[in-house]
Amino acid sequence: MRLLVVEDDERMAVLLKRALEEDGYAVDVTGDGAEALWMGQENDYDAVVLDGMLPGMDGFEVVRRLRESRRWAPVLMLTARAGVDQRIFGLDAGADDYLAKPFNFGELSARLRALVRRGNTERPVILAAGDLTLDPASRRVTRDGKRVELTAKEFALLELLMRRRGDVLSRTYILEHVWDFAYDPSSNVVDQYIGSLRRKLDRPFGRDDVQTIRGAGYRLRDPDDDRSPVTKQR
Amino acid sequence: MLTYLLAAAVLAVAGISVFTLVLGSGLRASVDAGLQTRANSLEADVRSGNIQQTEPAPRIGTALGEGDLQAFTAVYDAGGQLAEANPSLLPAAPLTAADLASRRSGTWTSYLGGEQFRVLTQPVNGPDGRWLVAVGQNLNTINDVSNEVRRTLYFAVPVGLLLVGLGAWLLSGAALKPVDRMRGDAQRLSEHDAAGRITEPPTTDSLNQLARTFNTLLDRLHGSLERQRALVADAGHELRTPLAVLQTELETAVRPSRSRDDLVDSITHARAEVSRLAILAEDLLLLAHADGGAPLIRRQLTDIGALIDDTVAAHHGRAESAGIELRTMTGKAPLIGELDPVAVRRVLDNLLSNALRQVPTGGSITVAAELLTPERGPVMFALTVSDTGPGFPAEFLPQAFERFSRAEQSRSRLDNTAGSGLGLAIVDTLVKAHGGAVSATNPEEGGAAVALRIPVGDSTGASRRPVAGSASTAGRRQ
Repeated sequence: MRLLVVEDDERMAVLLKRALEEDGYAVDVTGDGAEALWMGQENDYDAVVLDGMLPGMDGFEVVRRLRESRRWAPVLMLTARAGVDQRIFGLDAGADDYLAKPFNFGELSARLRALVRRGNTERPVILAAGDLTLDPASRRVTRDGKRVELTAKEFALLELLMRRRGDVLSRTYILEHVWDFAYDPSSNVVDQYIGSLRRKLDRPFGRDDVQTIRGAGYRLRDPDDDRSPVTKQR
Repeated sequence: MLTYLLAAAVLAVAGISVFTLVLGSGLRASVDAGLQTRANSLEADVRSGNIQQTEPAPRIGTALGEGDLQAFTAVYDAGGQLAEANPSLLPAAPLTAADLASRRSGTWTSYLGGEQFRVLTQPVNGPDGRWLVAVGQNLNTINDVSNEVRRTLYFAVPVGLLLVGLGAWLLSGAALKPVDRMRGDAQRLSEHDAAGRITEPPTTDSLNQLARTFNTLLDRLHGSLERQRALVADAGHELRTPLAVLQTELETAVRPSRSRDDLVDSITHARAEVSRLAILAEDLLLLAHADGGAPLIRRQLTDIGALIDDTVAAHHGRAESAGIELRTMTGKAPLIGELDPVAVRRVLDNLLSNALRQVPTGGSITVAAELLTPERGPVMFALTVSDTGPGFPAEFLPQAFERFSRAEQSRSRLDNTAGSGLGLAIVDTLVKAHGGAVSATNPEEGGAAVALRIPVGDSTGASRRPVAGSASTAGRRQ
């Protein structure tokens, strides 16, 4: 397992490197934000420990740019500025965990193990499917650069379709993931919301991306990967 | 509200009663005056013997229509007989037998034929003894008038009062509307968010001024709140960073794989971290004291020259080992003035530490001090610390004296002399506590310079003569 430790306090960097190496990691260290971004883009790290305040470029910017360049290594922010606002800001920028200084090294080590377990699968902060984007943090949906207003349920349904874009989702699956127990599985609430998504997202833009697969369910067409729905059914 | 209405009603009733009383007595007085005039002319007639038996003879109890009689005159002769009457037919005897017997003079109210009359009698010397003249005036007219007035007032005054009250209420409501809005604004301001404003009424009266004053106060409070928040946030960061290093240092030091040398190394680093924390805590406490308005300095008459020499000497060791030349220029005149020697020593210490960090080997640091005696105002102690280092970064200069602003980008902790970011802020605070001013510049000849001026007492006393001499020669040189 290879780690990148970004820490501008030299003594702290020395201590982290040594202790993490004793834990069995290979550790690269840098104290500069811009250099950290370059290293993160060039190498496939298993996890990144990132200080918030850095010369050159701050940690929040580093993690944002890493995600922009589709680098999904788990990032643990380690910073002395750990107010609630900062933590929300950091996590929404794309960090996976947040630990405030001063910290317990045992906890840092355990959190790193947990992050490495999750792996570096694709975890975009802002979902995108073609010209359709969805930002769960600011609850914003845009199509073709234009803002589209959705209700909370429409938003949740679209988020599910986008996370599984290209996949056919059965009515029951959608009902289980967007609605709670109180809903009768035989109700047509899913069809109604699919209809309103089409009204808001497809028709004004002349598209037909929210598709009905007869006898199977619904799917959001994946513009990057336009395979036949039959071969990709779950 | 109810009390107000009750008081208004009581006042209105009392006012109307008093008014009608005054009106009634005024009307009565004028009736009395008229009666007197008529009695006097009747008396003159009696004296001159102008009284004749009227035809037909005056009679009492005739069928004169009641209410028609508005006034009457009657003259009784010495025998008590009605000698003359006008009108000659009276509905009833104007005077009773007792009235006649007493022959008295007077004015009273009596009833005649069922009507209220004001009656005046006056004895007069007739041709055959004492006659009596009597004049009367029906009071129904003036009674009607005062009743009418009373009725009108009892109706009109409450209505008028109500209208006036309503008008006053509406008017005061309109006048107080801005106050109400300001009150609402003020209520919405929370203690933690002084960023809000209250609405300034679009007028130029004292209300607008009140709102402006209030907003200025809010601005100041907001500013100080923001500064305090920033300081707390910065202080939190500055304290957490060394604490984090310390904690990690100690936690990892006891790992089983560490050797005895590793342990010694960790303890050495931990000690350095602790002493940095102690200095930081001291500095923060001083600034917190200054923020809280506590008196920071205690002035005393000080040999400033000796103070500077002592302070500079304490830095000679570091300067020598770094290969930096330390120069002092204090002139020949004795430097004596009133200031806090401990504070000024700390100021100079901080400036020298900063300079020693920046100046490369082979460079120099110059401490120049003098006393300035201006035409007016107090004697000023001027101190400049300049060096041959790289100078301040341009973007650092505007915020040089702000807390936790650092000229050096890297926050190396391995170098134990690294600044806390509070050195110049403390210089600024201590100089301002003396009523002085400090500035940081990059002189044209290179390097960095920090110059400060501190008032050290008025231009009288011990420091006056030698200082005045040196200042005047300096002036001539210019």
